[in-house]
Amino acid sequence: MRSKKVKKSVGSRVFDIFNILFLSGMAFICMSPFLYVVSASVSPLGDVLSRSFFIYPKHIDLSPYRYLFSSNTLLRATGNSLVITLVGTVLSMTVTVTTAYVLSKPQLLGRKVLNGLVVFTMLFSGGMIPSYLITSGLHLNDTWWALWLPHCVSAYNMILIRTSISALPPELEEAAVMDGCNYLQSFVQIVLPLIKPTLATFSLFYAVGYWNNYFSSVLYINDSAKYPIQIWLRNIIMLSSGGFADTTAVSDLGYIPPQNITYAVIVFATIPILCVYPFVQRYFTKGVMAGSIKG
Amino acid sequence: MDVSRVEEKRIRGSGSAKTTRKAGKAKALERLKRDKLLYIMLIPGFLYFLIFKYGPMLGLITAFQDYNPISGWFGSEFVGFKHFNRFFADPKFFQLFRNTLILAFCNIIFYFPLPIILALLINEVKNGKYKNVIQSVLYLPHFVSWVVVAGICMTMFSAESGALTGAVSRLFGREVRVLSEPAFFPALITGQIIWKECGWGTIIFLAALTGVDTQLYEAARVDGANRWRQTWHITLPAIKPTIITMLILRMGSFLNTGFEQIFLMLNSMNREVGEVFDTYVYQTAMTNGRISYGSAVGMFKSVICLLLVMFSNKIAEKAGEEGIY
Repeated sequence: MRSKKVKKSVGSRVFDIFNILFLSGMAFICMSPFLYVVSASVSPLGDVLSRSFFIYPKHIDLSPYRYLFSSNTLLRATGNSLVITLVGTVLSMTVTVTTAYVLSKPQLLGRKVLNGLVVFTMLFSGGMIPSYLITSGLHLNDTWWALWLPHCVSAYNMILIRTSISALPPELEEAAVMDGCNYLQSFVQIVLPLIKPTLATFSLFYAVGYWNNYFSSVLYINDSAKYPIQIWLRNIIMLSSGGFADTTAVSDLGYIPPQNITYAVIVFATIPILCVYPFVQRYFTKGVMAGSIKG
Repeated sequence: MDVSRVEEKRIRGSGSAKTTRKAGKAKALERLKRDKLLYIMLIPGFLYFLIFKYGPMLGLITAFQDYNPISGWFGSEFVGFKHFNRFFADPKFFQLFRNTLILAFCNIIFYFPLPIILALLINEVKNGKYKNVIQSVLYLPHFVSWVVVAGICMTMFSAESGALTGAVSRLFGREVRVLSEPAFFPALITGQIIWKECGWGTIIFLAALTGVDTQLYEAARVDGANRWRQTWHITLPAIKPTIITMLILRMGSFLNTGFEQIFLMLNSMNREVGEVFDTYVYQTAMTNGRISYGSAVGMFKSVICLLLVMFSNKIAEKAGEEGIY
């Protein structure tokens, strides 16, 4: 018996090796488009057009980036996206976590009905047109509120956060109540610090959602001064591939952007996510998993 | 979701089932008063769901009206099922249905099993550090926007200078235009989904696997079960409930082909195979201004989705599995 535990069979070892090779291959496939785009963005246009490289660049040419940073419309769109993302994430997290906290309380009257009503919104929705009519009926068109409010709370995120709050030992809060804390105080002082990994994870989810959002802006934002970066990016891609695009958004470019500039824009629009991702990624296990095991 | 159900059962069981209705009412009032702050904290979330989730559901009456933006919901004329009838009679209906079904089947057959297999393989990696690196890398594409995915795809396969255009053409032995040839559309969409979501999809299965008692594996090893049999008899059963939940949810969104993704990949050449319910709703209502017709199409899709999720939930329960609600 002991020898079995210590010695692995040949088949098992072969499997381990193949498994690691296979997963490394998958990881490479995942990364290769990024690597290609990054190297294309720092390559001279000639190399890009003649496809003379794949994963790493042959020659370095940083002119696409120099060009990007001289574009006022891009800087404006980036600033817009930063504001949209920051405000939106704070707003979404505040409402989502507060709602999750309240709905986790067993003493809440009608809790079951309320939770059921939340779940139902995951199974059925009014769809695009009635949502659009409500949002524009509230005169949110051409304001960033149209990007924030209609997607403020994700029912799925709310349920996962609620589960991780429910998993906390109730004694902690009871002790706080004994000390004269009300719900709000115990929520802020006891519960929130205990679910920090969850908060980090879901803040990242919301932030990525706002940063990446494209279609809400297509629906609601017509004023090119308020465009977020994804719209700008889409217009550049369409222009450089010869398709139709809203040229007012990228008016200061003046001509059809060559392909290596498209690559540089793609890199530029992805960098903020890559900057935050490694710091939050280690919380995923705790954040998402703690919720989903019980969910 | 199981836990909340158990909790609710517990609460119901310990609740004051036998107290008289009057006492119950007084008690409820007392509880309301005591928990006043809780209800105040609920207001923002409540308003959100009321206005932006249940509001649009009420707004579905648009589909039964000849909606006119000036007179609004209260002034527009009711026309019953006119728009639905017109939609069902439209040849476009069959085309949308076919396109949506093709994409949905591609998703279930080619995408759905992959995260499960990948999760099983990641689970077999014993080196913690390597496992972490692999997971971080595989999760990453999930966080990239569809605009970027579409952009990368369009540049990679562009006819003039795409990095992969040559390779694909050689593979098929002729000049292939991946972006505009209708035959490639489902592969293009499914491929994008696999690249973007396959790694991220493993997280829920890996979460379920962290709950497996390691003693089970030890016992199986003692009994001489090899790793394949351990996977088959311990790991797979452990994630079976998760697989079924995901499958039910997938069924519920069967017709919800990723709207933004398809919207970004559509062009005049592939519209015939790429147009799905969601993009058609946008096209008719927002571009052509047929608001009521568009919301009828949208409502048809939402109702079918709801029926599908209820139906598959029933089947799961019949098969002795726990449903999702």
